[in-house]
Amino acid sequence: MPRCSRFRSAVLLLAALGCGPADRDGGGTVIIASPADTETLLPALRTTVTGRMVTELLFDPLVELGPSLNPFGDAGFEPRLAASWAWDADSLALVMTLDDDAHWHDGQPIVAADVVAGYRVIMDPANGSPIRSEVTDLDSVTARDARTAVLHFKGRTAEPLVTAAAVVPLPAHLVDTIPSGGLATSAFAQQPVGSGRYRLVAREPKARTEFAAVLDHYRGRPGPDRLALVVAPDPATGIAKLWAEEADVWDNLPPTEVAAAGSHPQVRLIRADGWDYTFIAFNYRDPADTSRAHPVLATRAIRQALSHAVDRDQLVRALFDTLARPLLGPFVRAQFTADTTLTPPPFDTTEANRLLDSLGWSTRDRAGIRQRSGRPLRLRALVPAPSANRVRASVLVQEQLRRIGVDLVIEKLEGQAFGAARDAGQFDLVFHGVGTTPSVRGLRTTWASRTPGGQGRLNAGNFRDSLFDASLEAGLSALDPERTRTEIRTAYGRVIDDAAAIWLYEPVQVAGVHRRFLTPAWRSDAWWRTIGEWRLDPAAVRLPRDAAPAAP
Amino acid sequence: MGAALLRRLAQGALVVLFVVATCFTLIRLAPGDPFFRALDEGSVPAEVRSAQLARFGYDRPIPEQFVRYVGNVVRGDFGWSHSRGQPVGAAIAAALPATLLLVGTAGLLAFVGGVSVGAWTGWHADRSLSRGLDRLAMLLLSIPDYLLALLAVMGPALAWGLFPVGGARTEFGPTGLLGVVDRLHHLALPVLALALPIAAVVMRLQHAAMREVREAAFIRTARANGVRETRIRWRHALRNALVPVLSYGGVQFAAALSGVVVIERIFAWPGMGRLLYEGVLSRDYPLIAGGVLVGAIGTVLGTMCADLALRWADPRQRGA
Repeated sequence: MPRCSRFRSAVLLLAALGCGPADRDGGGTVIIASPADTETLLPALRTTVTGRMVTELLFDPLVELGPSLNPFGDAGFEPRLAASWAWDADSLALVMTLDDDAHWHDGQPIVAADVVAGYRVIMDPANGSPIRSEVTDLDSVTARDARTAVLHFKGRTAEPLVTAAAVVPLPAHLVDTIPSGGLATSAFAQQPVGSGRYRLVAREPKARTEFAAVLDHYRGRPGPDRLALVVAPDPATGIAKLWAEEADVWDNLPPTEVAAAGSHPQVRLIRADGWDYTFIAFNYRDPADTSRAHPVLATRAIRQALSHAVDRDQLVRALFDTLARPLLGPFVRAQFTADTTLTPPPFDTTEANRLLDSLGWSTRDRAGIRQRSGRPLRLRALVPAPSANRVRASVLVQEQLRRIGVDLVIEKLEGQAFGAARDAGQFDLVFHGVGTTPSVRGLRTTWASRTPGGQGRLNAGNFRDSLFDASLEAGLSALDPERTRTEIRTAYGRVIDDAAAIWLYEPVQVAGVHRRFLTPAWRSDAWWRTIGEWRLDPAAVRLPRDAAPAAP
Repeated sequence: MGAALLRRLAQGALVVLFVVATCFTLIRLAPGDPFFRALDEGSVPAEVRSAQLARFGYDRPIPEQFVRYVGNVVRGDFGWSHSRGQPVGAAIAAALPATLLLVGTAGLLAFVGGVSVGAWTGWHADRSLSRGLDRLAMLLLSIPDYLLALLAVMGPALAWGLFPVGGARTEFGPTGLLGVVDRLHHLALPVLALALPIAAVVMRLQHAAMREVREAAFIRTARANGVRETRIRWRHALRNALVPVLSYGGVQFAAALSGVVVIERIFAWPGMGRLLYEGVLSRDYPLIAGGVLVGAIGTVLGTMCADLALRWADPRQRGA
C-alpha cells in the first residue's frame, strides 16, 4: 500500500475511533476517474460517452442490449423497466408492460405516463435533445393503461428495440411541470429523480459526482454501496490516482501506461474490443467551392494511390504497439456486422507511384514533390490538436506520403476550430474519428449521402453513393438479422471500394480496475452496465472508503 | 487620499468593462459555440444547435448581447453555464474559494519566504550561502511551472506516496478536524508547485533591492547616528527595499488568480483557472464572461492593494 494511503488509513482510523463503533463491512466504494465530466444528468440531453455512463447509472431504460451485442430484432435484448414486450398484430406497435416493482427514487411507481413523458421531452424541439435523431423511426408513444406503454413505429425496422431503449422514461409527476425548452436549466436537471440502480447524492460539476446504491431496486440491491465519478482533466494525474489507489477504475489506459501497470500489482488490466475507429477522410468536394468536385481527390485512382502509400501496420505498431489493429473499413471488429473478409488497399508504393504517374503527376520538383501542369501535389490535412494519437499519426502519414512525392501540409487545430473547419469542408484530408455502438444506424450520419433531414451529418468528406444508401436502408428495414448483416456488409464494401478513406486504426480498450473488486464479464460497449454486479473480493484487503456508509 | 481612491476605483471599473467587453467579443468571433460538439461527438444536428443559440440569444448582434449581459450582471444574474449545467454564479462561488485558498496560501508562503531569504542574502551578499541560495532561486526560476507540478506528482505523490496525487480532498474521507487535515494534505503539493517559482522571483528582487539599499547614504547616516544594526536592517533597509517586490506582488497575485490553469489542471484542483480554461474550450460564453469579470476585478483590486502598500513603504509615492 503506498505511504499516502497509509497516511489516509491512519486518518480514517482515527476518525472511526472518534465516531464510536466501527462501521460494518459494506459492498465497497468504486471511484471512477475520468478525464471528462458528464455534460448532463438527463438521458435526453446526453451526447458523450461519460454522459451515457452517468445517465445510465441514474436512469434505467425500458430494455437494454445484452452481452450478445446483436442489435437486430429483439433476441439480444434484456428487460429493464419493461418486464416484457410484444408486437401488435400489424408489427408496427410495440407493447411494453412495465415492471410492477419499478419505482422512482422518490418512491413513486413508474407508470406508462412516464414513458410518454420521456418521449415528449425528446421530441420537444425547444429542448434540443440530441436523442431525437435516434427515435425518428417512432411515430408516437401512448399509454394504454397505467402499466402498459405502446410505441408506434412508422414502419418496419431492423433495430426496433434500439429505438425503444432510447426512449428513457422520466418521472411525469416532475417533468410535466417544466415549461417547454426549460429542461436543461430546470432544478430537475440538476437534481434528477431517476430509476437506475444508483441515485444521485451530490454533484460538483467538472469535479465529482457521487452516487449511492438504491437498496430496494426492482433489479436487486447493487454490489457497491457508493460510486463516485472523479474528474481528472489531465490524464496523467487521473491514471496516477489509479496507481495510488485514490481511484478504482480508469477505463482507457494509453499504451505507455499499460506498460507501467506491472509496477502496480493492485491494479488488474482488462483488455476489450474497442468501439472507436480513426481514418483519413478524403474530401470529394472542392474546399474553395463545395458545389464543385475536388480538383484532385475526386478521382478514385488518386485516392487509391494515397491509400496504397500508407503503411498502416507500421503506423499502428509505432503508435500503439499491440494495443490497436489496422482498420478494415467503416466498422470495428466488435460489431455484429463486422466483415473481416473486406480488405482496404494494401501497402504498395510501387502501385501508388504507378497510379500517380498514370494520372499525369509524373514530374517532380527539387524537393521531390510531384507536379502536374506546374501545380505541385500538395494537400491540406486537418488534424485535431487535442487528439495526441491523431497528431502523431499525421506526422507519420506525412512522411510516408512524401516518399511517393505528395506534400501533406498538416493543419493542427484546437477542438472547436477543427470541428468548424471539418463541417465547413475546409480541407483536402481530415484525420477523422468515429465512436461506434453495436447499432449500425450511425452509418446514416457518418457515411450516407447528405440530406436536409440530417443524414450524412458527420460525412465530412461528402462521400455519396446511391448503392451504399440503398444497401444501408435495405439492411436497416429488413426484419431478418442475416439479411440485415448481408446488406450492411455490402454497404461497407461500397465505401472501401471507392477508396473514400485511408483506414487507419481501431484501438483496443485496456481498462485498469482495482483488484479488490471481482467483476463479471467486461462489457466492451458499456462497462458500467454491470457495475451493480461488482463484488468485493472476500480475500482482498479493503480500503477505508469501503466501510459501509452511515444510514441516511 | 479619498478622492484618489475614488478615481482609481472609477478607472478600475472602466478597465474591467473594457476587458470583459473584449473577451466577450473575441470568444464569439472564434469558431464554434456552446452547443457545438467538437471532434467526433457530432450528434447535435445543426438545426438543434441553431434553435439553442436562438433560445439563449446568441444569434443576436454582439453589442446587443453585451448590453443585455451587463444589464443581467447588474441584477446579479451571471447567466447559465452550458458546460456545467448550473448558474455561472454558482460555478464561480464554488471555484473562487478554492483558487483563493490555493493562491492565497502560495502567495503568503512565497512572499514571506522570498522576502525573508532575499533580504538576508541581499544584506549578506558576499557570503557563500547567499550565493548558493541565489543560484537555487535561478534554478527554480528556470524550471517551467508545469514541469515542476508534474515532477511533484510523479515524485512526492506517486513514487514516494507522501502526498495525494490530486483533488481537493480524499473521496469519502474524514470530516471535522481530520477533514481539515486531509484538505491541508491535498493543498500542500499544489501550493508548493505554485509558490516556489514565485518565491524565487521575489527572493531575487528582494536580494537585488536589499543589496542596493545597504550601500545607500541613509543607511550610513543611520549607522553613524548609532542606530542598532537590527533596526537599520529591518526597519530602514527592508522597508525601502520592499518597493519593487510590492509592485511585483500586486500584479502577480492578480495574474495568479486566473493564471493557475496549469497547476489546477495537473492537480485536478477545482478552481478558477480550470473553470476558465474549460469554459474557453467548450465556448461556454457566460462562464468565460463571468470568469474574466472576476479575474479583471481581482487584477484591479490587486494592483490597488499594491499601490496602497507602496504608499506605505515609500512616502514619496503619497504625493503621486
